[in-house]
Amino acid sequence: MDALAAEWHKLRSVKSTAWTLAALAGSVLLCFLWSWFVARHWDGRPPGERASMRAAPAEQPLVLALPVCAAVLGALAITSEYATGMIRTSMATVPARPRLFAAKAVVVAGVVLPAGLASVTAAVTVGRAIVGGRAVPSFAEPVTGQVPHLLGLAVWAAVIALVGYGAGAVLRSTAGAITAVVVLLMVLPPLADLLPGPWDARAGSVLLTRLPDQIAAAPAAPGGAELLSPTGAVAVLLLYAAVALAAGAFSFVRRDS
Amino acid sequence: MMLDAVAAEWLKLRTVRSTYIIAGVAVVFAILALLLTVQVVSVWDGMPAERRARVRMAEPAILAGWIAGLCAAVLGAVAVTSEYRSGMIRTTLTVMQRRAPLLAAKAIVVGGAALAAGLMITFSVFLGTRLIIGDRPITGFQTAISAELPGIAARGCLVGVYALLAFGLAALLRSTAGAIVTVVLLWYIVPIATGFLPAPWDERLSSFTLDALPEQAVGMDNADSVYGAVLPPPAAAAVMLAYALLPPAAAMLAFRRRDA
Repeated sequence: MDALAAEWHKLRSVKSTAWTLAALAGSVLLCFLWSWFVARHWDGRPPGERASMRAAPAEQPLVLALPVCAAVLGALAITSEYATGMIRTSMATVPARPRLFAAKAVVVAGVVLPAGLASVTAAVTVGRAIVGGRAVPSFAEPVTGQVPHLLGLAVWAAVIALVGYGAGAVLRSTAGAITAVVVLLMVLPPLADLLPGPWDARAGSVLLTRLPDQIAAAPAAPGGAELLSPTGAVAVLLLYAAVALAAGAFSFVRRDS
Repeated sequence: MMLDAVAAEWLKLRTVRSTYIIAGVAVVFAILALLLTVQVVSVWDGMPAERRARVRMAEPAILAGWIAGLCAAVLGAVAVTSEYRSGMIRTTLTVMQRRAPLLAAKAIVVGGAALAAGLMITFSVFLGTRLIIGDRPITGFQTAISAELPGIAARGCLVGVYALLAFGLAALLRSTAGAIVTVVLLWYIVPIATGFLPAPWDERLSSFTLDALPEQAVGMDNADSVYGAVLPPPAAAAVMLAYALLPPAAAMLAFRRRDA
């Protein structure tokens, strides 16, 4: 419990957490801007063409920025201590390494899950208010009907933060950990698409970026290539967190600091 | 004086482990791009003629160059931030007290190394792909090699641009995470985000994103990609140069005034 309190104190007092959450808040503002833009665009079209208008949902800017913010927050939770050497002080204070590692993981997930949920909910709620009565399909579903989608995005962000945290514990380098998550999120999808069918779809369906839509897609999402059931996608998502945490814990407990 | 500074920075760059890890990642993805070509070719060989005509493959050299750009960005960022992290920047500044030449020497070494590596990777993947494909008439790979060389060279140059951009951002922000995330934003997130804009703004804005520039700079279009191509070649080359030079220039101003 004390370890948790200490980790929480660290995370909320470092400047990088404030910067990361500020970036998240900036992305929420971009979501509002996007919703306003969609509304204006709708108004500017002749009524006959409005029915065919397709627009990305309000939370789209966040869907791009949230994973990066989450990964950075998770990675820095541990790599910054290796960078400064303070990890040795931490380990001297909490000699039980599994407990120290678990405390950090709980705090990281405990910050990213509510922050992710609050930001996507704010984006969707305000986005709907901005678009108002205009019949844009991706803005039509009330927020209460999107609860699984919003929860899915928040859990997804928390898992990415834990993957960043696990990568940080294994690599002990901010640059290495962030790049590893970027490769996982952004480089592997186009590579998977290059595989010959049916392996492109199979490999693509288990990639981290493709899981939220298979858990609960946004309203009026194009959809199509889902191979996993929602439960299956949740299981794959949790497997990512489990593998990252196991690798991180193994490296953290076994190696010298 | 300047030459000594460049020699010192080169010694640093070639002796730290991170340089070799980063180069290794770029080379592994280049090999992966070639393996994907081998895979496509073997599938193509087993196809009847009418299905062969429908095979489409992205240019592996562009894919390899795109990933090499990310690696170069990490290299450029770490070249600055690692010294701040270890505190060795204070030693460096004691030895080399004139700050403008110091930063310039770092930029020359990092930019030069990334440029050379970028050209090597894009050219070897391009030529390797053509060797693997041989005389098979796969769509998009029947053009004369000489016609493609300017575009491939520009792709290689973009790798150097990524390194200098990240280098400048890292010197400004003095944070590995901050610099890498900003480059990732420009490298991946902004091109996707511009794709959501309605026409003609998607094409106009995406023409200014980094990976849209090399083809435009040599007068080719960006067909079959998310990138637009509204810029004339000189303008595209100027935007590329601006990406490479403005962040280090801004960093130079800040570096001369700030405490280490």
